[in-house]
Amino acid sequence: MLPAILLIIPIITASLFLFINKRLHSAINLLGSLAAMVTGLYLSVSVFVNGPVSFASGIFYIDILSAFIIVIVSIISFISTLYSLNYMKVEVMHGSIEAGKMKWYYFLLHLFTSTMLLVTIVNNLGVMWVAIEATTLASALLVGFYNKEASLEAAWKYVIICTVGITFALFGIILAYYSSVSVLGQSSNALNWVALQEIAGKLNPRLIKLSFIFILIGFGTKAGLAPMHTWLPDAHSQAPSPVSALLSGVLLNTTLYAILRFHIIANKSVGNGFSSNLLMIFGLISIAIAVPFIILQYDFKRMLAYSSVEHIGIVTFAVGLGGEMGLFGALLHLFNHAMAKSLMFMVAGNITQKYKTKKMARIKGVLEAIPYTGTMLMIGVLAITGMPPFSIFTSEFIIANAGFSQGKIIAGMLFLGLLALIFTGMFYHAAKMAFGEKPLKIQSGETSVTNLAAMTVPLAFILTMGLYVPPYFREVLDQIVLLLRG
Amino acid sequence: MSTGNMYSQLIDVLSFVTLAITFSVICSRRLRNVFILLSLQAILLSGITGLVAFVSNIKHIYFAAAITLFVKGFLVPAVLLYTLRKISVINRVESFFSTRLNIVIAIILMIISFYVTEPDLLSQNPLARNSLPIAISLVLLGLFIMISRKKALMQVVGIITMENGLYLMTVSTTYGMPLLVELGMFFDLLVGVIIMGILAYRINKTFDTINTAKLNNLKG
Repeated sequence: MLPAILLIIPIITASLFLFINKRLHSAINLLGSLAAMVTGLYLSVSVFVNGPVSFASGIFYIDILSAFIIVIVSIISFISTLYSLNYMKVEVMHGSIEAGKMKWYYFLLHLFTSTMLLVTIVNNLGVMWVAIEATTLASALLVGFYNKEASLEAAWKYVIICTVGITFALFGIILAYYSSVSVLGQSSNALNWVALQEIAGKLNPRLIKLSFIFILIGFGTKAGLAPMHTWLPDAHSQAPSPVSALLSGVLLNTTLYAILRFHIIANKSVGNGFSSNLLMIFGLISIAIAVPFIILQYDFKRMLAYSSVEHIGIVTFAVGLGGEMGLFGALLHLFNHAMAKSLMFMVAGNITQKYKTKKMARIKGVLEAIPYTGTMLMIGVLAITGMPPFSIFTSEFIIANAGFSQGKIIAGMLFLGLLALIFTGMFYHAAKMAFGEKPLKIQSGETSVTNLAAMTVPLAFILTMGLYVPPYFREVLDQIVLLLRG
Repeated sequence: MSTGNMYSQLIDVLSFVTLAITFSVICSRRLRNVFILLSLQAILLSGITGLVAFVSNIKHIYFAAAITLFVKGFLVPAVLLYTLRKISVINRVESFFSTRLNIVIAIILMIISFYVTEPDLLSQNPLARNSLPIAISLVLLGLFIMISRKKALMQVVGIITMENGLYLMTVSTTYGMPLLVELGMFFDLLVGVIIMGILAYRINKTFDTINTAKLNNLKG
């Protein structure tokens, strides 16, 4: 029952917004997302403890990998809805958004959460495809929510490019289905992941190769892998900041999760090397492409978006490296990036509301104007560029170590070199914003308590996970690594 | 000639007609005609699906045929026509290329798809003799429509064309996808077209045009 409840809570919450009075918005928003988070965490913990759950005659299947992603989706969705409360109120006050449209914002936000949860809990890879397309559709209007020229352009590019990309993935899934039907015969579970990975050895490797290429390109578009990432900086920078946090922190991960599922099957069917090498190449390209765009960036949120391309590239690269250490690092990095990037987008939200611009050249003296946010900006940027003692340093260190210990010296050097370049670029931009004197017309004054409360959650993870990865967390990751290695 | 062979030939002919319809989409100059052609194509696809259901005697494929007719043949074109009327845009398609060049590129794409598809790759099903290259032609032509046309709504047409190609492929090679997946795909397509319609409407309101060449402010 629990998976169904988890799915239904955000849908109910979303539909409530169409009927209720405006004064109840905050309460319903908080209660709904809190309930969803508690259910999600409870479900995940029970999967960690008791093993995989199957539900509704095998349509839903939750194993430890899905549970891990559910943890990320639940936590960040909650943070984002909490942050939305005050952020959107201020946007309405500034006149960027009409007060009457707020119910649509919350409606779409919770619907978006439910589609992401759907991706993680389905067993049938075809339904997973449907769910991933649904995430695009639910978030497209959120990306264009400001209804200005730039945001509409971003929303249009987002929905068109991702839909085309995902159509390629559908081609890959059809090929996988075809090869599965030749083994299993016409049956409704021929696309179920559990069934596919059991018969992976018997699938036609030529078809699975072709299928994986199309799926990697298709879902890779949605996950933000270069060179299919072109929609990402537009969409992530034009969306309202709480939505950007969800897009960068969670949505990319859920799509990457779908690629991981196919990677396991392709690995078993085609043999090691094929899908891993592809992932490594796309990962490195993504990291490399982000470098010039981060160094020469003018827009704060676009810089963060390119940093997402980089980090998705890092995770993909690490999965491609494989081995116990590489996969462990990849999973840890997935989690750490989700936390750090959502914090950064909330920092960006506070700063853009204060300075009323996203242009970094016009933002100065953040530490003076909004001291808490400024501090978080500096911690966040050090964390996201992989400085010790913060969480991302740990996972990047493990990944680099995995590369060198496997004898992939060139890939490892390239990886570290690109990260160093990105560090210089991002740190330079962030330091210029944080220090200096604030412009005279900007009044000092911190944002609201709810905003800071929302930001504290990811901040806590960033600060602690660098020094200490709790043993049970490590154990969960170890088990997922076993699953990924097949 | 056995009856099975006759059916597969009929499916072949109908598949070629669906390809011909996309070809005429590429030659069309009016958006309204394009949407009507899309509706026609969906009706044909529904007919092919019905034939496959009849030959294979699998019941749930009839259901897929009915939904294809309803969603792709009726609802989707209706949404597109409604959007077109709402934005009262000039009815012309407007391509980046001349009509002659469009036709030449389309023919080259079709030749490529017939040339590159290995016929033995999906050879199990005798119904699928020509449908794989036709499906790939539709996907490539759909992509071509998306990048060569200026009007935002034509990009939606390109996506639907690609989807139709893949649908044709699943119907003729694997008797469609599992029903749940197919239902989800129709739902996504319908919602997707509605959302793209809403966005096109807003773009037209803000930019005063749905010419996608004007959507070029975000860079770097």
